[in-house]
Formats: sequence, structure tokens, C-alpha cells
Amino acid sequence: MTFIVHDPRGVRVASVPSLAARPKTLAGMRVGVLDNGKEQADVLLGRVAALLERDGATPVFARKPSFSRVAPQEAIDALAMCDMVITGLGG
Amino acid sequence: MARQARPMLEFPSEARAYDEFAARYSDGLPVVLPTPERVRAMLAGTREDPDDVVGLVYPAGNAATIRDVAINAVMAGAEPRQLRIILAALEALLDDRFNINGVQSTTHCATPLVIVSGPLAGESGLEAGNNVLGNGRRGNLSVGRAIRLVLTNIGGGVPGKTDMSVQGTPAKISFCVPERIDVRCWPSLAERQGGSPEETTITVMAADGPITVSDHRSATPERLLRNVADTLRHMGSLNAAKPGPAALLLAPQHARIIANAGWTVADVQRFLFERARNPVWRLREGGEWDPVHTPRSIARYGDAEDPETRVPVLDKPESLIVAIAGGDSGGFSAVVTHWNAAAVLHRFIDDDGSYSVPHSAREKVYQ
Repeated sequence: MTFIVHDPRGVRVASVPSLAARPKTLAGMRVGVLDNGKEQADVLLGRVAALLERDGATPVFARKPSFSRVAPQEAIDALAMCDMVITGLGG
Repeated sequence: MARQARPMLEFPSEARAYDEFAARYSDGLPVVLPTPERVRAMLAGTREDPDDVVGLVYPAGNAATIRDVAINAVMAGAEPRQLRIILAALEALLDDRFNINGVQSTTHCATPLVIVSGPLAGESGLEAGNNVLGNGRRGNLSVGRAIRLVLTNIGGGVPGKTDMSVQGTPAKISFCVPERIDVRCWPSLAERQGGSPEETTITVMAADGPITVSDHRSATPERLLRNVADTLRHMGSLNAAKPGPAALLLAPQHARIIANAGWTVADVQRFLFERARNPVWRLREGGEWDPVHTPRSIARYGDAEDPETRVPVLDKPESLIVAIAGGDSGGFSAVVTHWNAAAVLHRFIDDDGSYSVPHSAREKVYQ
């Protein structure tokens, strides 16, 4: 006889996304660059953006006012128009 | 919005369930197994539909139904009469303004502090006297633990995976504080939030662990609260460089010293707003001074370039949550500072004697 208990994990609402296909080239790509608001993140990501531009990509900048909060909707909307997005931890 | 429950979990035996279930779904300690009978009994603690959703728990973003909360409450060792307290606290914690996603994910030790003020605390088996923050207080511990289990099991706040807290704090296991409403130094926290003496409120704040303020020498509010101010303004707290809320859990002995001198809670808040400050030179010398954010955070209190500008720990006097807690004898209070990206919120619980959570709960936001 089996022992039965409730599952404590709640109800799944969002599906778990799978990884998108990796791009083969950066040329002509719109690349979102999300600055999480940490000190120096803009410096680091600015350098990344310059390198992306050199390889033919168009950077699209967005910034989080606080690294401890979810990005504002306008930032998410802007990034949603991009082919890919880069973010990172500064500070 | 009603949602279907997950399928039940089956184990070959109770012994296997005890070991394997706790290994997967726990705060690290063994749990009470949420059998159908125990969950049914727990659900008698509310009139709500078990399929109703209390909120989405991030970072996982899973929905917590009343039943799901009851399951985790069973696991925590809570009693059915405590379910309404747990549900009301979760309603506040899952409000977007509380930013549970940030609280769960941060490298800081942030954890929800839950203060219960009003007669339902005692009626629900919470104990506000000796060792209120410690061991031996099953009601307080179970309510706090149930919340932690919801955050872990439903919200996916798993240490080292999504819960990135560097050290954590013992307060992450459980941090629920009922107020001593029988110590009538001044109106209770619930009354100051607009409630009647019959009403009960839940107040939530994203918190550090508590710091003890020892003081058996002070006979005046000024001397005592200067000690509290020094504890509040310690440089390791996030409040030092970014003024915000904090909580002061006053020992009854300390509260009486203050009240006997004719001081109100507003007097305490104003005094600590003025006294719990650090000069800019001190903030620059160490701690979390950030050349980008700090000058912006403190601009309203003076010139950030002036070394003598005194920066408060509280963003405004009323941001200090004051509650009386603990045993009658002894001069030991506690200060709790704040994780700075979450609003302090409170909720009223129904006082009609039923075990109901009002979804249209009256609420007030502190910041």
C-alpha cells in the first residue's frame, strides 16, 4: 500500500522556455543591451556594445533604475523588439 | 481565478516519504507530511475556496492557491487557526510592491519580517511574551516557517540556485512577531494603522536579522533611544546609505520607560529620525556609499558634498515600525533594518470570528 501526500509546489502558470536558436552572425542583428543599474555596468556594457557595433550589430540600450527590481515595462518592450539581449552584473 | 491542484505524490511507505519528501521540499529540516487528512483539517481554518489563488510566487512564478498554502502550513507544523494569519501575510508578501522576486533572489540576507498586531494573534496561538523571537514559540515559528516553505516550494527560492543569499540569516527560517497588545503604553500597531482594538493587522517588511539593544541603565527616553539610534545607524545596514523603513521591537520594560515620561510613538519616531543619522564623512569612510546612487538617495536631507550633512537611517519618521514584544522583565529590545527594494505593507484580517481572509482587505502602504 502506497503512502500519499499532497504536492507542495503550487500550480505552474508559466511554461519553462527553451533556449532560442543561436545566431550564426551578428551582422544586421538588433542587440539589446540591458544595464542592470549596478555601478560600472554601463561602462562594461558600453564596451560590449562598441564591439558588437564593430561586428555589424545595432545595439539598443535599456536601463533598470534598480538592480533589485524587475525591469520597467518600457525597457522590456524595447528589448522585445531585439533579436537578442545581453545583460550582466556590474559593480 | 480557480486553478487545478497538482497530482498527489506517492511513496512506497511513510518512512520513505518522510525521508524523500523532506529532502526535496523543505527548509532543510524534517517536515510534517501533508497527508490528505491533515490538509483537509488545515483547510477548516478558512472559509475560502481552496482553489482560489492567493498570488503568484516569484521567481518561479507558480500560483499559490489556498490549498497550496494549507499544504505548506501543515508541513511547517502550523495549526488550522493559524492559516488566516499565514494567508493574510502572503497576500501582502505577494503584492508586486513587496517585490518578492527581489527578496527571494538577492545576495543580501533579506527575509520577510511579519508582525501580527491585534487579538487574533493570541487567539491563533501566537505568543508575544518571553523569547518571542526565539525557540519554544510554536505558533510564531510555524507561521514564519509556513511562509518560508511557500517561498521555497512554490516560489522556487532554492538556496544556491535562485536564492542567492550569501550567508542568509536564522531569521530566514522563521520571522513572525506578535505584538504585546496587553502592554498598554500607547495604541497598538493595528490601532495606529487605523484599526479598532478588536481588529488585527499583519505588517510585512523585507528585513535583516534582528539586532539586540541591551539597556538596563537608562531611565529616560532620551538616554534609551540614543542607544537605539546608535544600533539603527550601524554602517553595515543598507539603511545607512539609503534611508528607508526599519522596525523597533521594544521590550515592555523599555516601552514603559518611554511611555511613563509621556512620550508617544510619534515622539519615538521623530527622535529616532533625528538621532539615527550618519554624517556624510562617515558614510564616505566605509560601508555602502555608492557614488552613483547614494548622493541621489540622500539629496533631500542636505548637500551630499558637505561632509557634515547628517543622513537619516529612516526616510521619514513614520517609516519606523514600532511594536512592543517580549517578556516583562529585562531591558532588551531589538532593531530590524531593511532590505531597500521592497515596500512595507499591511493587511487587516477579518475580525468577525470566522477564519476568513478578506480579499478586499483594507491596506496601507508605508512607502
